[in-house]
Amino acid sequence: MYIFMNALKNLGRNKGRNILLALILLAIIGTTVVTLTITNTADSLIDVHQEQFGSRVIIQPDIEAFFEERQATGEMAPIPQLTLAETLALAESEYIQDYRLIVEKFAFGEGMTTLGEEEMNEMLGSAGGTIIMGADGEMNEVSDFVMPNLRLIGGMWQHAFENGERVLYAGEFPQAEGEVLISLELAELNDLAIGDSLTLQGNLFASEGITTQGYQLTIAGIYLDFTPEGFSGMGFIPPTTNRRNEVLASIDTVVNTLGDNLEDALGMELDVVYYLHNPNYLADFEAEARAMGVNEWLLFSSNAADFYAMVAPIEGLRQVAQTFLLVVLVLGSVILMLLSSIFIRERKYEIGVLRAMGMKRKKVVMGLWTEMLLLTAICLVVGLGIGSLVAQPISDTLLEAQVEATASATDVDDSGHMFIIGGGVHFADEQTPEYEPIDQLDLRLNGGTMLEIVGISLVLMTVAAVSSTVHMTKYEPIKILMERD
Amino acid sequence: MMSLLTLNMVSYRYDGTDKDIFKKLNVEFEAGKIYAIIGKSGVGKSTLLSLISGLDLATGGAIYYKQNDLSNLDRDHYRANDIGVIFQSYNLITNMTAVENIVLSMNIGESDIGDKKDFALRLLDQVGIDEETAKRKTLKLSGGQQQRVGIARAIAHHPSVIIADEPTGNLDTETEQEILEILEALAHEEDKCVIIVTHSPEVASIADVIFEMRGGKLQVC
Ligand SMILES: Nc1ncnc2c1ncn2[C@@H]1O[C@H](COP(=O)(O)OP(=O)(O)OP(=O)(O)O)[C@@H](O)[C@H]1O
Ligand SMILES: [Mg+2]
Repeated sequence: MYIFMNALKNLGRNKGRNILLALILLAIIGTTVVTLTITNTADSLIDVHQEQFGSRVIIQPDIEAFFEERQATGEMAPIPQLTLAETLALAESEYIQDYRLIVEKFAFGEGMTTLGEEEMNEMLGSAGGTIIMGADGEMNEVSDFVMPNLRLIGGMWQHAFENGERVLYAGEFPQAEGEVLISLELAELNDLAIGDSLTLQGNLFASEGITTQGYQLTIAGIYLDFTPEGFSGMGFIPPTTNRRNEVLASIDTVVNTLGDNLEDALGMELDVVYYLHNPNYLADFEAEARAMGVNEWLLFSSNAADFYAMVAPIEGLRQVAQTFLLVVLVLGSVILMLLSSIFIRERKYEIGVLRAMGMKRKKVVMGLWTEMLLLTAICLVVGLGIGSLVAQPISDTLLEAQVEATASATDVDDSGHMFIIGGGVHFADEQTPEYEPIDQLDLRLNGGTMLEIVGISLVLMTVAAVSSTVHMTKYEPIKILMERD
Repeated sequence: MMSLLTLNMVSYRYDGTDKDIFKKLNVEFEAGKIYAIIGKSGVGKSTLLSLISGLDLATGGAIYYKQNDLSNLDRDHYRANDIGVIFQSYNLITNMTAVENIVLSMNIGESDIGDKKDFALRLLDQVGIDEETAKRKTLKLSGGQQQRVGIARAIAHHPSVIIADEPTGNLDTETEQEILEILEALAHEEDKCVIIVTHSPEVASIADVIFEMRGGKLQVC
């Protein structure tokens, strides 16, 4: 107890030395408060944005390069796509937070009229057979090719129902395989009701040419469609583009009736968008996909650049703060070490007297550590006060500079690809809105940061205390006292 | 009478020198007596005191305090409780007041006196330091005043041995007389063993035994 009281009084007794030490400690602790608050707040803001951002990954074939190569080699090959198996396997990746998948197939509704079909037929006339280029590159005239007049869509089309573009009008959402949802317009046009059957036919590439395959589906529900009509230069919307002709089903329904061999399924298309847990995972995710054997022509791209542009000022601020903290800590520790070892030499005589009076070395050390601890505690309180007062204005000033610096430096590569195949066209409206660079940081001094500051202060205290007591073993009282004589 | 402190064949040589300051000293110090050690400057009087006070260890032989070899004792505890040293150069903590110096010394000796500050003030009063002076930093005291504070500190924890190195070197004869009376009282009334190193004949005159240190030996005069 007396050691504590003595240490407390010693703070006042060695005023000059302690004020100098305190100023240095204050400078370091104050800087630590400001920079750590900035760093940690920036960190959590970036984290939050990372999660909210849910960086979209789009996988598209490198069409231009692909065509160039095809022209050069004269070889014929279908445009590369992800297979459904690959798509579903990638959805299980640990880097993926969420995904949107739609598999769609152009089909022909047997005995049905679809919206825009009449106009289309009128325009085409009775052209008879159709010439189709097969997978083998041969031109085949096929008589049993069916002209698609609607689209069968499987997968995650629920989004339109969630945002009100579509509303369930009657019946229910498809549950079992083979159940579908059709639009009210299509139902009325064909006098279809819930429970009625539909027969759809699709075209398939096969070794013997193009074949058709028919399959029967049951209407489970009817929806109202408020999606935009779309635009067409023809004066009407072609049946396969008209969204009211969309027959909605599960992926299984689409796939199991046609098989997952998309390359063979004519007019079948797979559209997927993945959402990464973290924008930084793109390279890892792509590596995983490549290891899986995903077609080399497929390019992986994400909108991570948007994210980086958005957080660039904050990231810059964070780095400035972190660097500054590091420099101050290193420099500060060195200065503290030097000062403490100088100061302790000045107090050598006092220590000699204490030891001569029989104070144990351990207690002398304890007293010195207590002094340092008290000084640090005072500086910590004052430093926290001052630091948290000035942190926000300092942060604002620094951030402003960062915003200016990054505004001129960032140039988001948004060129994308000329042709959009797959690439999330179905989910375009789900795309993250335009992100502006973050130009505001509301600093929070939370418990974690506080603990870190206390921890750093304790380390500083230890640095000072150790450098002042490390030579104590050499301080034999008799020698000290005799040196003075 | 059993001796309180016994020096048995004590020799001492400073590190890095090739000559013993003293050789094979055999002396006994008893409680209730005043001893004076005289001798030329530089013969090793202060060195001997530092051995007796447990600040340093003999390089040959042994010193016993109540039959215990000092080299085996907890010498911190010995210094804090059993011995009081009045240093030639006072050795007060200069940025503390006189009272604080004494209270700190009592605390180190784990003294069980309740009001240490009050006790220190009374003790200082006994050695002629008034309250105002007692509450001043010792840096701002005169040599004689510091010497008195040093004496008060040396006896505050009730040691059984009191060692004084030139205790009156900086004092006028009147003050010297007062200090000597205190030391005499400590030995003859409180049964302390008082060992004084001195050049002064007055001081030597109050001693029960006078040793002269010469040529590394102690001789009774
Ligand atoms: N650390 C040391 N290393 C080597 N020699 C030392 C050391 N300290 C003292 N001495 C020498 O030891 C001798 C005895 O010194 P000491 O201080 O005991 O003398 P003293 O009798 O007390 O003298 P004085 O009357 O002047 O106080 C001196 O010759 C001194 O120079
Ligand atoms: Mg001497």
